[in-house]
Amino acid sequence: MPTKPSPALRFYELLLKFYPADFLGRYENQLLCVFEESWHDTEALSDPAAALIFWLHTSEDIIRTAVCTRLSQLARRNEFGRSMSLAASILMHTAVLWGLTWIAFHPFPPPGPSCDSKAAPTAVIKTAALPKVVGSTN
Amino acid sequence: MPSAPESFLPLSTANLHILLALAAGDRHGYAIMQEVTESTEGVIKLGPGTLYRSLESLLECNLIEESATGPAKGEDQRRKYYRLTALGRRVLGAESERLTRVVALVRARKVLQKPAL
Repeated sequence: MPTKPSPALRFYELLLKFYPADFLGRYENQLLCVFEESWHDTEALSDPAAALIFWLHTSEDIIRTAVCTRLSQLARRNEFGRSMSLAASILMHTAVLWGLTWIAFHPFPPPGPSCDSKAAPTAVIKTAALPKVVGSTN
Repeated sequence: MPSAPESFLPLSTANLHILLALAAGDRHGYAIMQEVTESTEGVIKLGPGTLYRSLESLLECNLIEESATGPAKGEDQRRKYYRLTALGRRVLGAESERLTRVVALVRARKVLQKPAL
């Protein structure tokens, strides 16, 4: 029975769709093979920062080279009529890249109160006791 | 028709390091990526897209070819091995000579001279 692909692999397959079909036809299997091996090595580190860097590097690399591949194909074909679809493609790639960068560098919200069942009551007690202490000094 | 090795120069950084990795023996894609990262001490990390775009251009220029060595038993059967062609080896040699001349020029101009304290 074939195993279900992991979410990481599915996302990577989605990224590969940026490539022209003929390029993907020639290299898809090898690109998937390289991804599985490198993602396996990254996962083994159990480091979220390494995983984030891996995805940023991989996404940027694929989108950039996909645009370059499409551009060079267009230059070879010398078809002016395709320039509009290329412009749309570049805009789409730029938007995706911008979105990924924004997600990566957007500051996370400050951590909320602890969910630890022991820590939470302590924090409440300290806050409640504060006005009494201040009042006693006057 | 044989092409002059000099007509391929200068090589891009990715192409140079891929050819250098293959100069040591036949390798598949992921092995090339690892070799480049290790040999440059992590300064150059090839992404999968850069790697296969470069491999395609090197194949088109006949600087590399698919190796007859297939994946061994137990290895991922999707792997393809690549190797340098005779032309690829000559181009790598020519690029190495060019870079040697650049380094000689850098030394002659004392670009790397440490500033006096």
